[in-house]
Amino acid sequence: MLLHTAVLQSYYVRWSSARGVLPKSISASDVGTFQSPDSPSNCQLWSAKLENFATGRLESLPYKFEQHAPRMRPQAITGALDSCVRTFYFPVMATTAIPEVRPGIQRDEEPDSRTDLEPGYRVICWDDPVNLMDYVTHVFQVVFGWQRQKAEVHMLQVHNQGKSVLTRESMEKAEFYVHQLQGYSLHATMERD
Amino acid sequence: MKLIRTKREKLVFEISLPEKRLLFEVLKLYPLISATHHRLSKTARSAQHDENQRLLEESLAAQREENRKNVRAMLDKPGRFQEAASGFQLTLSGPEIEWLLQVLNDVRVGSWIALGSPDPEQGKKIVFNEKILPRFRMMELAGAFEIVFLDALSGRTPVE
Repeated sequence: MLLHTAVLQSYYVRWSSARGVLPKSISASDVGTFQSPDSPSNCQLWSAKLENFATGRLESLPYKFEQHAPRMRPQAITGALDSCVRTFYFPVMATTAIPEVRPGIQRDEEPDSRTDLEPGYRVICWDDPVNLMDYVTHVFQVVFGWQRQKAEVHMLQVHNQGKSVLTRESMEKAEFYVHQLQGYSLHATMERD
Repeated sequence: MKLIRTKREKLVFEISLPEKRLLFEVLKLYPLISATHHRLSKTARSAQHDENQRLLEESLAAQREENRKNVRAMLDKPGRFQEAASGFQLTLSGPEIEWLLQVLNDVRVGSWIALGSPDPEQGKKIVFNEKILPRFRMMELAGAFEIVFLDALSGRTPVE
């Protein structure tokens, strides 16, 4: 859906001369094409209204850009404007640069501790003489979704070295894994790095 | 007790009457490990850690209660063990075997703790007497049933 270049050109000249912020003249090649955010079925009607506005038959555009603009943060909008400046100078686009305050969003006064979210906790399984080797391997497979070979490596590490670091996770995930392992009566703890 | 076939993601075990009695004897002991036995961390000491430890104990207690209900249902439900020529057939799904393994290992580890956490490799041997012997028997029985279920899950026994 392309607006006619002549329409755009006349609209641009009218707008820029009134505000004096853009170059006094513009060539057809500078205007380029503009894609209406309206649906294809409304394009022709929209085009006619814009022509009326450009030629002075309408006082204001029958189109609210805010209704169609994607909700973006001011920074993102600035970037979008920078990238499309050569496409078409559209006066109402400037209004979108006003920072938008969304209702109903409340910031936490005390954000989550960064260390709690970082993988700074080791989940360790400790050796004991009572849990069967096959059982320990099976539990590792179930809890971590490992292949049997990997589970056996960690099981043997527990058996031969007294412990094995099974994973490094955030506090919440480490607690989850420890709970799972202890549910199977394995000797597991979480320790900070 | 042995796996005789797999049937639509369920495992069918053959179990004799004496084996069934032994299995029930082990299951009735659940739970043996106290709720405060497991520690979240060996090193952490803080108010936050104490709170997390309390939450861990609560969630383990909830899981234990769920397993206890499952055990009770298994012991009481009449159709669970189907009579067969050589004893009984016990049909279990994968998740059912998982909670059975948790229950059996609780009895095994709990018996081991009750025995004084013996560790022959560290020179901490069991001194057998009449009081200790039933605990030791339960520990070994629980382990024997675990091995049957683990072998069945890993496909080391013939399947249909």
